[in-house]
Amino acid sequence: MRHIRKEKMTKYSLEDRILASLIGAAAGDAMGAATEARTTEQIIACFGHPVTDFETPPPDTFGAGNVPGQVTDDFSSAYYLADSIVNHNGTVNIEAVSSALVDWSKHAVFFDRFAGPTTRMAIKRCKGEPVPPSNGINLDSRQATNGAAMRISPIGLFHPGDLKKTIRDSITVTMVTHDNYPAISGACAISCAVSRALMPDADLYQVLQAARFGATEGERLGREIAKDVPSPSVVRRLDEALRIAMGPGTPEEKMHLLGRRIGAGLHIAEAVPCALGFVAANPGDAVGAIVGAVNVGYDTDTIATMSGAIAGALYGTAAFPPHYLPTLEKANGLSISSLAAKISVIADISLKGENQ
Amino acid sequence: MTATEILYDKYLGCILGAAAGDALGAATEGKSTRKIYAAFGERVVDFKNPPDDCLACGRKKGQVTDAFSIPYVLSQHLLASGGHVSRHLAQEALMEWGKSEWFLPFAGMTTRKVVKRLNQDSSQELWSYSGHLGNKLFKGHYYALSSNGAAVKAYPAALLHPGDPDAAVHDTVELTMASHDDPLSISGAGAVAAAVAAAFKEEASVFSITQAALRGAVLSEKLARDQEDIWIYPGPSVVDRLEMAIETALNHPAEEAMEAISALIGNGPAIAETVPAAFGLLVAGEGDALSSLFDAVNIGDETAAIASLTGALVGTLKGAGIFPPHYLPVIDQANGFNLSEQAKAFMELNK
Repeated sequence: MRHIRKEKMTKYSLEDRILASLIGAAAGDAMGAATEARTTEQIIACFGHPVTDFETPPPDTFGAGNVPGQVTDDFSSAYYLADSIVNHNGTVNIEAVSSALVDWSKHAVFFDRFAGPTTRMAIKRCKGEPVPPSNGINLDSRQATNGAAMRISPIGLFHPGDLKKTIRDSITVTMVTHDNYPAISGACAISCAVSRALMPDADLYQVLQAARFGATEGERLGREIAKDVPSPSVVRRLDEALRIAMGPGTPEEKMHLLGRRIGAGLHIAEAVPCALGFVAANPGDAVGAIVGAVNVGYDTDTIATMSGAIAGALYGTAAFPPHYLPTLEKANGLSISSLAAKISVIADISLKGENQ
Repeated sequence: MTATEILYDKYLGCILGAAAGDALGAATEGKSTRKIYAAFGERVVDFKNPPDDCLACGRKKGQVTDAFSIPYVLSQHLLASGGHVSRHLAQEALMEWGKSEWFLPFAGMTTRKVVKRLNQDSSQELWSYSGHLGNKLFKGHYYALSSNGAAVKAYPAALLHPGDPDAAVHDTVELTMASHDDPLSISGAGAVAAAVAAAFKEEASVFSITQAALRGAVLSEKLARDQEDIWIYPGPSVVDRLEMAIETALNHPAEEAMEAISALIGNGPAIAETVPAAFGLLVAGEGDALSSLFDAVNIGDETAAIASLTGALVGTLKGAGIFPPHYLPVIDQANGFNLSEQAKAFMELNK
């Protein structure tokens, strides 16, 4: 049985919330790596139980060969993006994003097996390499995918409570790889939720409102600057996901409904509303938000990365079992805690600047 | 009209509606509603030459795409066999279609791969069929992305069983397994076949055929899961999305329903978008057949498939007389079809 930690009366710490967001994202990615592309029934058949901790990815998944706790493209590209922004003193521009992506793509362990088609094409462009034509077929409408949203959570971490700057920088990051308004809408929903969750007065309701604000603003601004592609609306699907999450039923029943009605696939208008649905369906329970996303089936690692980033930022490190951080740092050779410390220096300045 | 004439009008209405919907949607395919209005200056309500930036570019107005040509060839095979339904027959039909003018420009991701595999194309090695990892994960993604091919070719089974949705569903499962061997694709195909079969009943209405669709989706998904060689992958439920589409249509005034369905249900190539969107538009039209059909043409993205489904549904329900009189000659002439003859042949077969 999963262990839900009792809420501790701990003093608010911005660095703790930032670290928890990174831990939640990484844990969601690593747990989802073992369940990706299966249905809920197939996950239970494969493992004998729902997946509630780090497992070895089975041989027929993208994550095959990974050890328990090892992440995929989702968290690793977020990590490189955050690191690059730290090295640019918190400035988010095309150069910082492109160099992060190119740097990330050199790490075969994260990139070669995992990177999606839209991101791969964008990195070729960043490197100045020719992008092969697609038999004359316009693929714009098939690029409204979740690749930008999966790595967007650090943008919220750099701007605690400042949704305007969060949206501005999220658009810059998203446009490098996903030039279409649904991708911008989805990315802004996630980053705004993370940004709001970091504030001392944050509660679940405010976080979900921030997500909806980000999705709406992202859609509006995206229509002005990015490609207009046919797509379901992230905002409308988000409303439906939250209706399911806040309606009657157990978290498990809501997981099934989110998978059946919203969908848990690669499309931005499935993955992002679904991820926020799991945060809303598991109030006060960061591990529950991740576990729901890990067991819903399909693109579980990406959805759990996003759920974990938001729930971690809202509930802090005390919400996670103590073995998460050391397991994740060891399995991936990444120093998640020192990245959190570096981000929090910049975030703290941003936060104090806002209060003046 | 005599009872025989009414019945013939329904057969022809189904086939002509499927063909006309495809040809109308060929010009708007792949665009958002905003871009469709920008490209044509108005809502598209008649056959147009497809613009240069779409899949059907270079073809002329009235010409169909894969959405109608696949079931057209399948129908010819079903008629030639005297209505004998088998997976093998559906594969034969698909292989013949693979040699046609429609294959190269239009074949979707799933169908293209199945046809190549059936033809044992030497360039089609295992890895490119099931993904570069050699695992089945990619197959699931391909299916999820392009599975509406199962639904657009579902109406011919209903033409073998007018008025008998359950029998139409059973035959559809067998025919669909030839190319889309998964419960979600089959569920969408079953919804369409059941609704078209139900639309032949004397007392048929938008309500009764929508009920038949829900029942057909549930029954065909169950029959699919009982098949030994079924391929199961994750994806949203066609049944749930059908319920959502109907609810959305009922909760919005007719002029807002198209946008509401597009925003919540979606109108892309996934089976759980294309099929529920078509039924949502059917309900939104409140029995105004052409309003539903034109909504399908202008909703954007997979308009050829959605309008082909909507056309078959309203055409069967209301009869071919509901369509403007130039539809039949334009379609027959642009494509070298004789749709009246095919409609008569189905009717003769069932006598």
